[in-house]
Amino acid sequence: MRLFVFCAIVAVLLLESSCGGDDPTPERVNDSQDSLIIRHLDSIGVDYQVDTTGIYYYPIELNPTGKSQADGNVLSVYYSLEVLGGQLLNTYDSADGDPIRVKQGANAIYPIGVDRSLSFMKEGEEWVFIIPSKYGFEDYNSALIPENSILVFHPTLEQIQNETDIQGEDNMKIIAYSDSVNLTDTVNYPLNQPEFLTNGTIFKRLAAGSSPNAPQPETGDTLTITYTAYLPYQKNEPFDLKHASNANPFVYSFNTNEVITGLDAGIANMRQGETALLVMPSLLGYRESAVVFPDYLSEEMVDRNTIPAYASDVGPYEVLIFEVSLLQIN
Amino acid sequence: MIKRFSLLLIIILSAQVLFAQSQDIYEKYGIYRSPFRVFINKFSWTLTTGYGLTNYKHNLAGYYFYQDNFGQQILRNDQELPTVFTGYTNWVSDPIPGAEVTIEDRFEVPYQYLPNPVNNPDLRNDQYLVDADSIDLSFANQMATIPILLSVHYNIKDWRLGLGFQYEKHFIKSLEPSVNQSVIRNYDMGFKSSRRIKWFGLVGYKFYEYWDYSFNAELQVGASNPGPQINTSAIGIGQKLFVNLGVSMERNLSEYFRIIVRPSYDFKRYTINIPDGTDIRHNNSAWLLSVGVSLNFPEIPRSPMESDHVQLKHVITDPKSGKLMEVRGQPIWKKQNPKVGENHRKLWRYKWRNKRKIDPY
Repeated sequence: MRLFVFCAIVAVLLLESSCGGDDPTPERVNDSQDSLIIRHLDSIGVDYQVDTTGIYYYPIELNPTGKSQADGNVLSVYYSLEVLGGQLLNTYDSADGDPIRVKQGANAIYPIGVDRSLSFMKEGEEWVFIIPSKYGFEDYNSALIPENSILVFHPTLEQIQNETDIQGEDNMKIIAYSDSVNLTDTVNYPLNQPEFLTNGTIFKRLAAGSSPNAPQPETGDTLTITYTAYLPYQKNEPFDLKHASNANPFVYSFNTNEVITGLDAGIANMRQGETALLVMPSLLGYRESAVVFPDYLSEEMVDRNTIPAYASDVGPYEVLIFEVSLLQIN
Repeated sequence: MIKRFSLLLIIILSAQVLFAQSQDIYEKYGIYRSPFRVFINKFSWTLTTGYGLTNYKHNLAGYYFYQDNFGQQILRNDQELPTVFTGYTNWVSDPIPGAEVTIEDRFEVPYQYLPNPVNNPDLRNDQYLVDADSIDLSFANQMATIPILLSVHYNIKDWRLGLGFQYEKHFIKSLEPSVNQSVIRNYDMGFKSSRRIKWFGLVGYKFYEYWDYSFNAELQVGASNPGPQINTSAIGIGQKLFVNLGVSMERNLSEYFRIIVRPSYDFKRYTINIPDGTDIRHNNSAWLLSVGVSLNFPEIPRSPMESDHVQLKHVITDPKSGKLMEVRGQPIWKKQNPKVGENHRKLWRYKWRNKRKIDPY
C-alpha cells in the first residue's frame, strides 16, 4: 500500500510538471463593457435597444417608409466613428464627396460590428450604434484606438442598391469613359475600333503584335505580361505600377482563376506582342472589395491579414482599367 | 575500448568471487554451490517500462522562416533574401531543398478577388516570411514516450556499476510555434511515431534506506540512436551522447527481487546539418517515469525434494550427487529466511472474499 501511494504521488508530480500552465480564464471583456455602455447611454438619456451580440443602438432619424435591405445590400453611407470616451477617429459626410459604398452581410466590412450595425437601417435613416470591442477592433492597439476600445458608430444610410443596379452603373461609367477619352478616335488610336465584349469589358488594341498570326493564349498557358492599372480619369495616378516595365513582368497561368476575371477575359482577345486597353466592370474586378472604417487603417489591416492587399488599392465597385502588353506565351 | 574494459571487469569479478568462496563456510564444511550461480548472483537484472514526455524543441535563430499554403521552409539569414529562392524543409529529420518560392502577395492586384474577405483564413495561410531572429521563433512540443529498459549492474556495497539498453517509442505530434500562432502553422514532421535506441553505462549509489525500501541515485551515460525517420548521416559527429539522471526507488521484496519506480530526466540533443552549411540544434530532453522489476539470479536452487517443506535456506544431501548442497525454501520473490509470518503478513482469512466469511478455512 505504501508503495502504491508513493508511486501515485510521484506520477502525479511528474505529470503535473509536464503540463504547461494553462492560461487563466480570460476576462469577459464584453460583460464589463456592457456596464460601461449602459452608463454612457443613461448619461445622455436616450431610449436604446441592444441586439444579441451586445451592440447597443438608438435612432437619430427614422424613415419607416424607406427602402429596406430586402431590396439590396449595397449601401451608400456617411458616418462618423469615435472611441467611447476617447478620440474621434473619422467623420465622412457630404462635404467630403460621394457616400461610401459597401456591401452589407458579405463579410466585406471591418470592424464586423459596423457591418452588423448597418443591417438594422433603412434608406434615409440615421442611427447611433455602440459597438463592444469584440465586434470592433478587438486587441488592435494604437495611439488613437486603445486595445479593447468600445466604438461609437454614427451612420446615415443614403441609398440602398443591389448588384444589378451596380452593373448598370458600371456600364454607364464605362461608356462615358470611352467617350471621354475618345477611344473611337482612329487618329490617336489608329489600330481599330474598341470592342464591347459580352461581359461588359471594353477591349481596345493599342499596339499591334509582331505578326497578325502571332499566337493567342490558351487555358493553362504561362503568360508574361506587363501592365499599368488605374481607375477611370486617374491615368496619371495608377494604383499599380509594380509590373509596368519589361524588367519586372508579371507571370501567371492564363484562364485558371489566378487573376481577376476581367483581365483573363481581355487578354483572351490579344496576340503575343500586342498592347491593349481593358476597361472592365467591377463585377469582373474586385466587386465589393473590403472596406475598413476608418479607411486610413486599410494598409494596417492588410499587414494584419485582416483584409486582402487589393482592398487597399481598389475600393468597392470600382471600374478598373488595365493597359496590358502580352510579352510571351509559354 | 569497451571490449577491453568488459574483459578486465569480468576478470576482477571472477577473482573476487573465487577468493571470497575460498574463505567462507562452504569450503569449511564442503557444501557445494555452483560457481556460475554464485557469479551470476552478483549481478542485478532490471526490466522496466513506463511513460515519459520528450520535449522536441529547436530555435530558428539564424534563419528566415517562410510559409505558404504548400509548406514551410527555412533559409540562412546572413544574406539578403532574393525574390525567388529555394529554402529547406524537414529540418528536424532530413533537411532537403524545398520547392522554389517566389515572394508575392497572392491577394494583391491583379490576383483573383476573394469572397468573404474580412478575416478570411486564406489570408493567414498565404505567404508568410519572417526573419526568425526578429521574433525569436522556435518550435516545440512534448511527445508521449514509452521507454523499455533492460540493464544489468554489479553491486559493490552501496555502489552499482552496469550496462544497459533502452528502447523508446515516441508518439509524434506537430511542433507548435513559440510566437504568432495565429499566422504560423504547426511544424509537421511527417511521421506519426519515431524510436530511439540507447546503449549506456550506468553508475549508481544507494543514498538512503527505509525498511524494505532503498533509494539509489543513478547516472546513465551513452549513445542515443534515432530511428530511421531521422537521417543519421545529417547528424553531426558526437551528437548522439545522452545523459540520464534518475532516482531508482526500490521495494525489496526479497534478497533477489525488487519492484522499481524510477523517475528520471534525460538530457539529450542533436545537431542536424542543413545542406547550405549551417546547422540547427534540436533539444530532446525528457521526463520519464519507469516501473519494473529487478532481480538477482539466486546463488542456490530450490530444494529438489517435494517433501522438503523447510522454509529457510538449509543444507541437504543432493539425492543425485550425494553432495551437501544449500537450497532455498522460498520462491525468489519472497524473503528467503523469513521471521514468523513475514512472508504472510495478511492472514488468509483477511484476504479477498474471505473477509466476509465467518470461517474461511
